[in-house]
Amino acid sequence: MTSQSPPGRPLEELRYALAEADAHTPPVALRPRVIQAAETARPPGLAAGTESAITPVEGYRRTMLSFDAVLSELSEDEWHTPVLRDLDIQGLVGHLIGVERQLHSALGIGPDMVTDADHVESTQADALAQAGRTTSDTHAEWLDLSAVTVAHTSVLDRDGLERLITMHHFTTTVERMLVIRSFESWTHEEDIRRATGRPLAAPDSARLRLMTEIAVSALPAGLAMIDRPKPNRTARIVLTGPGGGTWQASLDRGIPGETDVRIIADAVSFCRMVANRMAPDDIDAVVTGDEALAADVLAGAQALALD
Amino acid sequence: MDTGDGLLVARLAAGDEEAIAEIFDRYAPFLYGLARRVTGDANAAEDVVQEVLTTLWTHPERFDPSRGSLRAFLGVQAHRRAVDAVRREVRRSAHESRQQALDPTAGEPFPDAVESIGLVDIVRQAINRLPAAQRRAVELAYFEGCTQRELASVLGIPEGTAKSRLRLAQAKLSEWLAPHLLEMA
Repeated sequence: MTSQSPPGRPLEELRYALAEADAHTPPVALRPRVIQAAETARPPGLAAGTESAITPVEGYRRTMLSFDAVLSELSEDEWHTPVLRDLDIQGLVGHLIGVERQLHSALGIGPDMVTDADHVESTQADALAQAGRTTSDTHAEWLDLSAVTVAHTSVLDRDGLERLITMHHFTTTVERMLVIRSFESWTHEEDIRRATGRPLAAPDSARLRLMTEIAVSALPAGLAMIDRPKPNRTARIVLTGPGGGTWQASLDRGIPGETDVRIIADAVSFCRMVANRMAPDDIDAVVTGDEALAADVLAGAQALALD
Repeated sequence: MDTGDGLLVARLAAGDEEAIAEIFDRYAPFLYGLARRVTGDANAAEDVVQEVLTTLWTHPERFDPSRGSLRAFLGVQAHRRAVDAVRREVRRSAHESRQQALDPTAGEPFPDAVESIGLVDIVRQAINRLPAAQRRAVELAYFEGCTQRELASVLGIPEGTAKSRLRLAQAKLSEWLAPHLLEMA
Protein backbone atom coordinates (compact mmCIF):
# COMPACT_ATOMS: atom_id res chain seq x y z
CA MET A 1 0.00 0.00 0.00
CA THR A 2 1.35 3.44 -0.85
CA SER A 3 1.21 6.20 1.72
CA GLN A 4 -0.08 9.69 1.19
CA SER A 5 1.64 11.08 4.28
CA PRO A 6 3.94 8.82 6.23
CA PRO A 7 2.69 7.98 9.70
CA GLY A 8 5.89 9.24 11.32
CA ARG A 9 4.04 11.88 13.32
CA PRO A 10 0.41 10.89 12.88
CA LEU A 11 -0.92 13.05 15.66
CA GLU A 12 0.71 16.10 14.15
CA GLU A 13 -0.80 15.17 10.79
CA LEU A 14 -4.19 14.80 12.44
CA ARG A 15 -3.83 18.02 14.36
CA TYR A 16 -3.18 20.06 11.26
CA ALA A 17 -5.77 18.22 9.21
CA LEU A 18 -8.29 19.25 11.87
CA ALA A 19 -6.95 22.79 11.81
CA GLU A 20 -8.15 23.00 8.19
CA ALA A 21 -11.53 23.58 9.77
CA ASP A 22 -10.28 27.02 10.79
CA ALA A 23 -9.11 27.89 7.28
CA HIS A 24 -9.87 31.49 6.51
CA THR A 25 -9.47 33.31 3.21
CA PRO A 26 -6.64 35.80 3.62
CA PRO A 27 -6.85 39.36 2.31
CA VAL A 28 -6.37 39.57 -1.46
CA ALA A 29 -3.29 41.75 -1.06
CA LEU A 30 -1.43 39.07 0.86
CA ARG A 31 -0.75 36.87 -2.19
CA PRO A 32 1.29 39.40 -4.20
CA ARG A 33 2.96 40.54 -0.98
CA VAL A 34 4.14 37.02 -0.17
CA ILE A 35 5.31 36.32 -3.70
CA GLN A 36 7.20 39.60 -3.84
CA ALA A 37 8.81 38.98 -0.46
CA ALA A 38 9.86 35.51 -1.54
CA GLU A 39 11.35 36.69 -4.82
CA THR A 40 13.24 39.43 -3.00
CA ALA A 41 14.67 36.90 -0.57
CA ARG A 42 15.78 34.54 -3.37
CA PRO A 43 15.57 35.45 -7.04
CA PRO A 44 13.55 33.00 -9.10
CA GLY A 45 15.11 30.96 -11.87
CA LEU A 46 18.12 29.51 -10.09
CA ALA A 47 17.91 26.27 -8.14
CA ALA A 48 18.55 26.45 -4.41
CA GLY A 49 21.84 24.94 -3.31
CA THR A 50 23.65 25.89 -6.52
CA GLU A 51 27.18 27.09 -5.90
CA SER A 52 28.19 30.60 -6.99
CA ALA A 53 28.38 31.02 -10.73
CA ILE A 54 31.67 30.15 -12.42
CA THR A 55 32.98 31.11 -15.84
CA PRO A 56 32.87 28.65 -18.73
CA VAL A 57 36.67 28.61 -18.62
CA GLU A 58 36.60 27.54 -14.97
CA GLY A 59 33.92 24.98 -15.78
CA TYR A 60 36.12 23.57 -18.52
CA ARG A 61 39.14 23.47 -16.18
CA ARG A 62 37.16 21.59 -13.51
CA THR A 63 35.83 19.11 -16.06
CA MET A 64 39.32 18.40 -17.35
CA LEU A 65 40.58 17.85 -13.78
CA SER A 66 37.73 15.44 -13.12
CA PHE A 67 38.35 13.57 -16.37
CA ASP A 68 42.07 13.42 -15.65
CA ALA A 69 41.39 11.99 -12.19
CA VAL A 70 39.40 9.12 -13.69
CA LEU A 71 42.04 8.40 -16.33
CA SER A 72 44.69 8.38 -13.61
CA GLU A 73 42.81 5.66 -11.74
CA LEU A 74 42.59 3.28 -14.69
CA SER A 75 44.64 0.10 -14.76
CA GLU A 76 46.36 -0.84 -17.99
CA ASP A 77 43.68 -3.46 -18.64
CA GLU A 78 40.90 -0.96 -18.03
CA TRP A 79 42.33 1.38 -20.68
CA HIS A 80 41.41 -1.29 -23.21
CA THR A 81 37.82 -1.71 -22.07
CA PRO A 82 35.32 -1.24 -24.92
CA VAL A 83 33.47 1.98 -24.16
CA LEU A 84 31.76 3.68 -27.10
CA ARG A 85 31.08 2.79 -30.73
CA ASP A 86 34.06 0.65 -31.74
CA LEU A 87 36.43 2.40 -29.35
CA ASP A 88 38.14 1.29 -26.19
CA ILE A 89 38.96 3.91 -23.57
CA GLN A 90 42.29 4.72 -25.17
CA GLY A 91 40.55 5.23 -28.50
CA LEU A 92 37.94 7.43 -26.86
CA VAL A 93 40.67 9.61 -25.38
CA GLY A 94 42.15 9.70 -28.88
CA HIS A 95 38.83 11.03 -30.13
CA LEU A 96 39.06 13.78 -27.50
CA ILE A 97 42.61 14.54 -28.61
CA GLY A 98 41.23 15.05 -32.11
CA VAL A 99 38.47 17.35 -30.85
CA GLU A 100 40.97 19.35 -28.81
CA ARG A 101 43.25 19.80 -31.83
CA GLN A 102 40.33 21.09 -33.86
CA LEU A 103 39.42 23.45 -31.04
CA HIS A 104 42.97 24.80 -31.05
CA SER A 105 42.72 25.32 -34.78
CA ALA A 106 39.40 27.15 -34.39
CA LEU A 107 40.91 29.27 -31.61
CA GLY A 108 43.88 30.12 -33.82
CA ILE A 109 46.45 28.49 -31.51
CA GLY A 110 47.05 25.29 -33.48
CA PRO A 111 47.75 24.15 -37.02
CA ASP A 112 45.07 24.95 -39.59
CA MET A 113 42.55 22.15 -39.85
CA VAL A 114 39.11 21.67 -41.30
CA THR A 115 36.99 22.08 -38.18
CA ASP A 116 33.57 22.36 -39.79
CA ALA A 117 33.34 18.59 -40.14
CA ASP A 118 31.45 15.70 -38.61
CA HIS A 119 32.24 15.37 -34.93
CA VAL A 120 32.91 11.63 -35.01
CA GLU A 121 34.25 11.09 -38.53
CA SER A 122 36.72 13.95 -38.34
CA THR A 123 38.32 12.58 -35.18
CA GLN A 124 38.25 8.89 -36.04
CA ALA A 125 41.85 8.93 -37.32
CA ASP A 126 43.02 10.31 -33.97
CA ALA A 127 41.02 7.66 -32.16
CA LEU A 128 42.46 4.82 -34.22
CA ALA A 129 45.99 6.23 -34.03
CA GLN A 130 46.15 5.48 -30.31
CA ALA A 131 46.29 1.75 -30.88
CA GLY A 132 50.05 1.73 -31.30
CA ARG A 133 50.83 4.07 -28.43
CA THR A 134 51.28 3.61 -24.72
CA THR A 135 48.28 4.61 -22.67
CA SER A 136 50.43 7.05 -20.71
CA ASP A 137 51.35 8.82 -23.96
CA THR A 138 47.69 9.06 -24.93
CA HIS A 139 46.79 10.37 -21.49
CA ALA A 140 49.65 12.87 -21.48
CA GLU A 141 48.85 14.24 -24.95
CA TRP A 142 45.20 14.75 -24.08
CA LEU A 143 46.16 16.46 -20.81
CA ASP A 144 48.70 18.74 -22.49
CA LEU A 145 46.26 19.82 -25.20
CA SER A 146 43.53 20.48 -22.60
CA ALA A 147 45.92 22.48 -20.46
CA VAL A 148 46.80 24.65 -23.47
CA THR A 149 43.08 25.31 -24.06
CA VAL A 150 42.62 26.39 -20.43
CA ALA A 151 45.78 28.51 -20.43
CA HIS A 152 44.76 30.27 -23.65
CA THR A 153 41.11 30.90 -22.85
CA SER A 154 41.70 31.96 -19.25
CA VAL A 155 43.49 35.13 -20.43
CA LEU A 156 41.03 36.07 -23.18
CA ASP A 157 39.21 39.36 -22.76
CA ARG A 158 35.47 39.73 -23.30
CA ASP A 159 35.87 40.20 -27.05
CA GLY A 160 37.98 37.09 -27.25
CA LEU A 161 35.48 35.01 -25.30
CA GLU A 162 32.60 36.26 -27.43
CA ARG A 163 34.38 35.67 -30.73
CA LEU A 164 32.50 33.26 -32.97
CA ILE A 165 34.19 30.01 -33.92
CA THR A 166 32.94 27.11 -36.03
CA MET A 167 33.33 23.45 -35.21
CA HIS A 168 31.40 20.37 -36.19
CA HIS A 169 28.78 22.18 -38.26
CA PHE A 170 27.86 24.84 -35.76
CA THR A 171 29.08 28.30 -35.01
CA THR A 172 29.06 29.76 -31.52
CA THR A 173 31.12 31.88 -29.15
CA VAL A 174 34.33 30.64 -27.59
CA GLU A 175 32.62 30.64 -24.19
CA ARG A 176 29.69 28.55 -25.31
CA MET A 177 32.03 26.19 -27.13
CA LEU A 178 33.87 25.63 -23.85
CA VAL A 179 30.60 24.70 -22.14
CA ILE A 180 29.78 22.32 -24.99
CA ARG A 181 33.23 20.78 -24.61
CA SER A 182 32.68 20.43 -20.86
CA PHE A 183 29.35 18.76 -21.54
CA GLU A 184 30.99 16.30 -23.94
CA SER A 185 33.92 15.54 -21.64
CA TRP A 186 31.64 14.92 -18.66
CA THR A 187 29.55 12.62 -20.85
CA HIS A 188 32.62 10.63 -21.88
CA GLU A 189 33.84 10.55 -18.28
CA GLU A 190 30.54 8.89 -17.42
CA ASP A 191 30.96 6.54 -20.41
CA ILE A 192 34.27 5.44 -18.90
CA ARG A 193 32.74 5.13 -15.45
CA ARG A 194 29.95 2.95 -16.84
CA ALA A 195 32.34 0.79 -18.83
CA THR A 196 34.63 0.18 -15.87
CA GLY A 197 31.94 -0.26 -13.23
CA ARG A 198 32.62 3.01 -11.45
CA PRO A 199 29.72 4.99 -9.99
CA LEU A 200 28.42 7.80 -12.16
CA ALA A 201 29.29 11.27 -10.94
CA ALA A 202 27.20 14.38 -11.51
CA PRO A 203 29.18 17.55 -12.15
CA ASP A 204 29.39 20.03 -9.28
CA SER A 205 26.37 22.31 -9.24
CA ALA A 206 28.17 25.32 -10.73
CA ARG A 207 29.29 23.28 -13.76
CA LEU A 208 25.91 21.63 -14.02
CA ARG A 209 24.26 25.04 -14.10
CA LEU A 210 26.38 26.01 -17.12
CA MET A 211 25.29 22.79 -18.80
CA THR A 212 21.59 23.10 -18.02
CA GLU A 213 21.59 26.69 -19.24
CA ILE A 214 23.19 25.83 -22.55
CA ALA A 215 20.98 22.78 -23.03
CA VAL A 216 17.77 24.76 -22.50
CA SER A 217 18.97 27.60 -24.72
CA ALA A 218 19.75 25.09 -27.48
CA LEU A 219 16.26 23.55 -27.55
CA PRO A 220 15.19 25.49 -30.69
CA ALA A 221 18.28 24.13 -32.45
CA GLY A 222 17.43 20.61 -31.34
CA LEU A 223 13.88 20.95 -32.63
CA ALA A 224 15.24 22.22 -35.95
CA MET A 225 17.59 19.23 -36.14
CA ILE A 226 14.66 16.81 -35.95
CA ASP A 227 12.69 18.97 -38.35
CA ARG A 228 9.96 19.84 -35.87
CA PRO A 229 10.20 23.62 -35.52
CA LYS A 230 7.86 25.17 -32.95
CA PRO A 231 7.17 28.78 -33.91
CA ASN A 232 5.50 30.86 -31.21
CA ARG A 233 5.52 28.03 -28.70
CA THR A 234 6.87 28.30 -25.17
CA ALA A 235 8.00 25.63 -22.75
CA ARG A 236 8.51 26.10 -19.04
CA ILE A 237 11.48 23.94 -18.17
CA VAL A 238 11.95 23.17 -14.48
CA LEU A 239 15.14 21.23 -13.75
CA THR A 240 15.33 20.13 -10.15
CA GLY A 241 18.30 19.75 -7.87
CA PRO A 242 21.35 21.98 -7.38
CA GLY A 243 22.60 23.16 -10.76
CA GLY A 244 19.08 23.19 -12.16
CA GLY A 245 16.67 26.07 -12.47
CA THR A 246 13.52 27.30 -14.15
CA TRP A 247 13.33 28.72 -17.66
CA GLN A 248 10.44 30.21 -19.60
CA ALA A 249 11.90 29.09 -22.90
CA SER A 250 10.81 30.24 -26.32
CA LEU A 251 11.08 27.30 -28.69
CA ASP A 252 11.87 29.50 -31.68
CA ARG A 253 14.41 31.86 -30.09
CA GLY A 254 11.71 34.53 -29.89
CA ILE A 255 10.22 36.19 -26.83
CA PRO A 256 8.76 33.60 -24.43
CA GLY A 257 4.99 33.71 -24.24
CA GLU A 258 2.44 31.93 -22.08
CA THR A 259 3.41 28.40 -21.13
CA ASP A 260 2.28 25.78 -23.66
CA VAL A 261 3.89 22.94 -21.80
CA ARG A 262 5.69 22.53 -18.50
CA ILE A 263 8.38 19.89 -18.20
CA ILE A 264 9.80 19.06 -14.79
CA ALA A 265 12.81 16.76 -14.60
CA ASP A 266 15.91 16.10 -12.57
CA ALA A 267 18.71 18.34 -13.85
CA VAL A 268 21.35 15.60 -14.10
CA SER A 269 18.98 13.18 -15.84
CA PHE A 270 18.00 15.93 -18.28
CA CYS A 271 21.67 16.47 -19.15
CA ARG A 272 22.19 12.74 -19.60
CA MET A 273 19.25 12.75 -22.00
CA VAL A 274 20.71 15.71 -23.91
CA ALA A 275 23.91 13.67 -24.18
CA ASN A 276 21.82 10.78 -25.55
CA ARG A 277 22.76 8.60 -22.60
CA MET A 278 19.17 8.37 -21.33
CA ALA A 279 15.93 8.09 -23.27
CA PRO A 280 13.22 10.73 -22.75
CA ASP A 281 10.96 8.03 -21.31
CA ASP A 282 13.57 7.16 -18.72
CA ILE A 283 14.16 10.58 -17.17
CA ASP A 284 10.90 10.44 -15.22
CA ALA A 285 9.78 13.87 -16.40
CA VAL A 286 6.49 15.29 -15.19
CA VAL A 287 4.63 17.02 -18.02
CA THR A 288 1.65 19.32 -17.82
CA GLY A 289 0.06 20.94 -20.84
CA ASP A 290 0.64 19.95 -24.45
CA GLU A 291 2.06 16.43 -24.13
CA ALA A 292 2.80 16.07 -27.86
CA LEU A 293 4.83 19.28 -27.68
CA ALA A 294 6.68 17.91 -24.65
CA ALA A 295 7.56 14.74 -26.55
CA ASP A 296 9.01 16.82 -29.39
CA VAL A 297 10.93 19.07 -27.00
CA LEU A 298 12.51 16.07 -25.30
CA ALA A 299 13.30 14.43 -28.66
CA GLY A 300 14.86 17.70 -29.82
CA ALA A 301 16.91 17.91 -26.65
CA GLN A 302 18.21 14.40 -27.20
CA ALA A 303 19.13 15.26 -30.79
CA LEU A 304 21.63 17.81 -29.47
CA ALA A 305 24.01 15.00 -28.53
CA LEU A 306 27.30 15.05 -30.38
CA ASP A 307 27.83 11.29 -30.32
CA MET B 1 9.17 11.54 -9.79
CA ASP B 2 6.92 12.38 -6.85
CA THR B 3 3.84 14.24 -8.04
CA GLY B 4 2.57 15.53 -4.71
CA ASP B 5 4.05 17.83 -2.08
CA GLY B 6 7.54 16.61 -2.91
CA LEU B 7 7.24 17.74 -6.53
CA LEU B 8 5.78 21.08 -5.53
CA VAL B 9 8.70 21.76 -3.19
CA ALA B 10 11.20 20.43 -5.76
CA ARG B 11 9.82 23.02 -8.18
CA LEU B 12 10.17 25.64 -5.47
CA ALA B 13 13.77 24.59 -4.96
CA ALA B 14 14.32 24.86 -8.71
CA GLY B 15 13.37 28.52 -8.53
CA ASP B 16 9.92 28.11 -10.08
CA GLU B 17 8.05 31.13 -8.79
CA GLU B 18 4.77 29.65 -10.00
CA ALA B 19 5.20 26.98 -7.35
CA ILE B 20 5.18 29.52 -4.50
CA ALA B 21 1.94 30.91 -5.93
CA GLU B 22 0.44 27.42 -6.05
CA ILE B 23 1.54 26.73 -2.49
CA PHE B 24 0.00 30.02 -1.41
CA ASP B 25 -3.29 29.15 -3.07
CA ARG B 26 -3.29 25.68 -1.53
CA TYR B 27 -2.14 26.45 2.00
CA ALA B 28 -2.51 30.16 2.78
CA PRO B 29 -6.14 29.89 4.02
CA PHE B 30 -5.10 27.08 6.36
CA LEU B 31 -2.03 28.96 7.61
CA TYR B 32 -3.85 32.25 7.92
CA GLY B 33 -6.70 30.62 9.85
CA LEU B 34 -4.28 28.82 12.14
CA ALA B 35 -2.25 31.96 12.79
CA ARG B 36 -5.35 34.06 13.38
CA ARG B 37 -6.61 31.62 15.94
CA VAL B 38 -3.30 31.62 17.78
CA THR B 39 -2.59 35.35 17.61
CA GLY B 40 -6.13 36.71 17.52
CA ASP B 41 -4.72 39.36 15.23
CA ALA B 42 -5.30 39.49 11.47
CA ASN B 43 -2.20 41.58 10.76
CA ALA B 44 0.03 39.31 12.79
CA ALA B 45 -1.49 36.32 10.99
CA GLU B 46 -0.62 37.84 7.62
CA ASP B 47 2.97 38.30 8.78
CA VAL B 48 3.09 34.67 9.88
CA VAL B 49 1.90 33.45 6.49
CA GLN B 50 4.48 35.62 4.75
CA GLU B 51 7.31 34.47 7.00
CA VAL B 52 6.43 30.80 6.70
CA LEU B 53 6.11 30.78 2.92
CA THR B 54 9.13 33.01 2.35
CA THR B 55 11.23 30.71 4.51
CA LEU B 56 9.98 27.70 2.55
CA TRP B 57 11.05 29.47 -0.65
CA THR B 58 14.51 30.33 0.67
CA HIS B 59 15.10 27.01 2.46
CA PRO B 60 13.09 24.36 0.62
CA GLU B 61 15.58 21.70 1.73
CA ARG B 62 14.16 21.90 5.26
CA PHE B 63 11.01 20.09 4.10
CA ASP B 64 11.48 16.36 3.86
CA PRO B 65 8.47 14.71 2.22
CA SER B 66 9.46 11.36 3.70
CA ARG B 67 8.77 12.71 7.19
CA GLY B 68 5.25 14.00 6.68
CA SER B 69 2.94 16.19 4.67
CA LEU B 70 3.67 19.73 3.60
CA ARG B 71 0.53 20.80 5.45
CA ALA B 72 1.86 19.47 8.75
CA PHE B 73 5.32 20.93 8.09
CA LEU B 74 3.90 24.37 7.32
CA GLY B 75 1.45 24.05 10.21
CA VAL B 76 4.27 23.48 12.67
CA GLN B 77 6.19 26.48 11.31
CA ALA B 78 3.12 28.69 11.39
CA HIS B 79 2.25 27.62 14.91
CA ARG B 80 5.76 28.38 16.17
CA ARG B 81 5.85 31.77 14.52
CA ALA B 82 2.36 32.62 15.71
CA VAL B 83 3.34 31.73 19.26
CA ASP B 84 6.45 33.87 18.89
CA ALA B 85 4.27 36.72 17.69
CA VAL B 86 2.01 36.33 20.71
CA ARG B 87 5.02 36.32 23.01
CA ARG B 88 6.37 39.48 21.46
CA GLU B 89 3.02 41.09 21.84
CA VAL B 90 2.76 39.96 25.42
CA ARG B 91 6.16 41.36 26.22
CA ARG B 92 5.18 44.67 24.68
CA SER B 93 1.88 44.79 26.38
CA ALA B 94 1.38 46.20 29.79
CA HIS B 95 -1.83 44.33 30.28
CA GLU B 96 -0.97 41.94 33.04
CA SER B 97 -4.17 40.03 32.90
CA ARG B 98 -3.69 39.21 29.28
CA GLN B 99 -0.08 38.30 29.96
CA GLN B 100 -1.10 35.88 32.68
CA ALA B 101 -3.77 34.33 30.55
CA LEU B 102 -1.65 33.82 27.49
CA ASP B 103 1.79 33.30 28.89
CA PRO B 104 1.67 31.49 32.20
CA THR B 105 4.98 29.83 31.49
CA ALA B 106 6.85 32.98 30.48
CA GLY B 107 10.47 32.19 29.83
CA GLU B 108 9.77 28.50 29.23
CA PRO B 109 9.85 27.08 25.73
CA PHE B 110 6.45 26.78 24.13
CA PRO B 111 5.52 23.22 23.31
CA ASP B 112 5.18 22.74 19.57
CA ALA B 113 4.15 19.16 19.19
CA VAL B 114 1.09 17.37 20.40
CA GLU B 115 3.21 14.70 21.99
CA SER B 116 5.17 17.11 24.15
CA ILE B 117 2.26 18.58 26.02
CA GLY B 118 0.46 15.47 27.10
CA LEU B 119 -2.32 15.69 24.58
CA VAL B 120 -1.58 12.28 23.23
CA ASP B 121 -3.94 10.62 25.66
CA ILE B 122 -6.64 13.21 25.11
CA VAL B 123 -6.49 12.75 21.34
CA ARG B 124 -6.44 8.98 21.63
CA GLN B 125 -9.42 9.06 23.99
CA ALA B 126 -11.27 11.25 21.53
CA ILE B 127 -10.52 8.84 18.70
CA ASN B 128 -11.70 5.95 20.85
CA ARG B 129 -15.01 7.73 21.39
CA LEU B 130 -15.72 7.62 17.66
CA PRO B 131 -18.00 4.89 16.27
CA ALA B 132 -15.90 1.93 15.19
CA ALA B 133 -16.24 2.60 11.45
CA GLN B 134 -15.20 6.22 11.78
CA ARG B 135 -12.40 5.32 14.18
CA ARG B 136 -11.00 2.87 11.65
CA ALA B 137 -11.17 5.50 8.91
CA VAL B 138 -9.21 7.97 11.06
CA GLU B 139 -6.62 5.37 11.98
CA LEU B 140 -6.10 4.43 8.35
CA ALA B 141 -5.93 8.04 7.18
CA TYR B 142 -3.69 9.50 9.86
CA PHE B 143 -1.83 6.61 11.43
CA GLU B 144 -1.24 4.51 8.34
CA GLY B 145 -1.14 7.29 5.80
CA CYS B 146 -3.80 5.94 3.44
CA THR B 147 -5.20 8.08 0.66
CA GLN B 148 -8.99 8.29 0.43
CA ARG B 149 -8.92 5.84 -2.47
CA GLU B 150 -6.88 3.36 -0.43
CA LEU B 151 -9.18 3.94 2.51
CA ALA B 152 -12.19 3.00 0.39
CA SER B 153 -10.40 -0.07 -0.90
CA VAL B 154 -9.36 -1.30 2.53
CA LEU B 155 -12.81 -0.70 4.03
CA GLY B 156 -14.61 -2.08 0.99
CA ILE B 157 -16.78 1.00 0.56
CA PRO B 158 -17.18 3.58 -2.22
CA GLU B 159 -14.69 6.43 -2.21
CA GLY B 160 -17.43 8.97 -1.59
CA THR B 161 -18.56 7.07 1.49
CA ALA B 162 -14.99 6.92 2.77
CA LYS B 163 -14.68 10.65 2.25
CA SER B 164 -17.89 11.47 4.13
CA ARG B 165 -17.03 9.02 6.91
CA LEU B 166 -13.69 10.72 7.41
CA ARG B 167 -15.31 14.14 7.28
CA LEU B 168 -17.82 13.17 9.96
CA ALA B 169 -15.04 11.85 12.16
CA GLN B 170 -13.01 15.00 11.66
CA ALA B 171 -15.98 17.16 12.59
CA LYS B 172 -16.49 15.26 15.84
CA LEU B 173 -12.81 15.33 16.70
CA SER B 174 -12.67 19.03 15.93
CA GLU B 175 -15.55 19.64 18.29
CA TRP B 176 -14.17 17.48 21.09
CA LEU B 177 -10.58 18.60 20.75
CA ALA B 178 -11.12 22.28 20.07
CA PRO B 179 -10.67 23.37 23.71
CA HIS B 180 -7.47 21.39 24.01
CA LEU B 181 -6.07 22.56 20.68
CA LEU B 182 -6.86 26.10 21.73
CA GLU B 183 -4.93 25.52 24.93
CA MET B 184 -1.96 24.45 22.87
CA ALA B 185 -1.97 27.84 21.23
